[in-house]
Amino acid sequence: MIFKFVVKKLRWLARIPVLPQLFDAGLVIATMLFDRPRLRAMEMFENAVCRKDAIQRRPHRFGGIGFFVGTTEIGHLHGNGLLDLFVGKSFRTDQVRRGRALPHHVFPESGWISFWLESPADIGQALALFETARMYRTTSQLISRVR
Amino acid sequence: MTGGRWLHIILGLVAANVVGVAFCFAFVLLFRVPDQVDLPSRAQQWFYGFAIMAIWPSLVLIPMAMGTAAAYFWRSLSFSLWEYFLWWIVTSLISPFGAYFAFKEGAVCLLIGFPILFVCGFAGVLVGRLLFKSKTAAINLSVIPVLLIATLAEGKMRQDQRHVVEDRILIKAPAADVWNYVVSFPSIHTAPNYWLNAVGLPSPLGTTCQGAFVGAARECIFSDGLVFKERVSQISPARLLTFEIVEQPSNPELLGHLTLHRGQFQLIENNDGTTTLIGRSWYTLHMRPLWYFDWWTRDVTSHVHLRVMEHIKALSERKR
Repeated sequence: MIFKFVVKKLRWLARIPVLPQLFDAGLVIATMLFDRPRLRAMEMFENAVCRKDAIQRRPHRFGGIGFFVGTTEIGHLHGNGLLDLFVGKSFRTDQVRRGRALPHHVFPESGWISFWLESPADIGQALALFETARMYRTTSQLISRVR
Repeated sequence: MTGGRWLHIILGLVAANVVGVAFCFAFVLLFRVPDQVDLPSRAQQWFYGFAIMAIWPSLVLIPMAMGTAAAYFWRSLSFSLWEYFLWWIVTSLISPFGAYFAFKEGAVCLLIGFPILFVCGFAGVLVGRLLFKSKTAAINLSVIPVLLIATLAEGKMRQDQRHVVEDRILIKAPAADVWNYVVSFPSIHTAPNYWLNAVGLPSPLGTTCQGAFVGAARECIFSDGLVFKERVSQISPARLLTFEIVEQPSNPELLGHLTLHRGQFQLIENNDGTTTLIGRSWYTLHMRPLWYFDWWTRDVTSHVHLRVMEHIKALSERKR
């Protein structure tokens, strides 16, 4: 509820450097203290993603962990287990229609999707979505380079 | 756990606290020296202009730099988030204990400041663990000097302002009866119910006054033998009592953090046998970030007001 309020009503605060990281640290602490399965899922996901070639982790500008290929962002994971991925509009519609992901929590009409990591059981689906996002991003990068 | 692993943990722990202490000392040096040396006005203007650009409160940036420094030394340990969390608890506890024992800082001030140190520092750890996982760890370490510059600049933005806290309660007694216990009152014997009093914050015990006249010496006595020396500056029987704080005790919770200027009790007769008693305190807070410490100061002052005012209420209503 607090997260929803902050990202919807106080989004402008994210322009202040470091503030999103502080907020995300608060989310991680809350997750650690009150939701251990979610924390485990977040760590498992992060480790699994980082085993993939060419994926780099960096602090994300909106807090949490950003996953990148070079300078292209594949997605990011917030401290409360919310995974945001960019899959493009057509994939987004398909994934949401099939119930595999939710429309993005802030920009529901964009090419972004959201997925809640709640327990280690969600890892498989999260990784499948991540792979879709990675393929979409790297392929579109290649196409634009060829053009 | 191997010796090398322990060494890295301890290095992180020490580095974080060394960074914290270094920042604080650099802060003190940078802002004491220019004040004592006559700088040309242009240099001063540049200095202030630079300070205005850097808006980061030191209490956010210093802990973040500490957390980042710790994460740098812990980068090779493959910590889980829990391990980062637990080791950060240990690391962040050293500074307050050090400040308490080495610099005689007040325990309550440290307790109030600890959540900032902990959360902001943990944010630094989380950022650091991502920054220093990459091969560009050395380059990314440059984040610390950037934080240092921003932090040092913040201190020059101090513009101390006078604030006032006001509290009111309704007393079922006429103003004349209430007035008997406003100028001075017998000792408070009930135990304080504010949680900070339980961890060492002194609570008001009683007040003595030379008499009900302007210039009368008044003393507000707190637990731990603390005495605020006051002088009555305005008096209007059954309506208003204002007193200036002429000397505040040299308690570590107050020294350099808070200056109390004045206190006031106002009585408003409600014409139905009841009186509204208003307590006010004027103070200047020297801590930053202001919004955080001002919230605590208001809360603490309000509890002091209410403890005294509840006592006056009990005495006034009992008399009836």
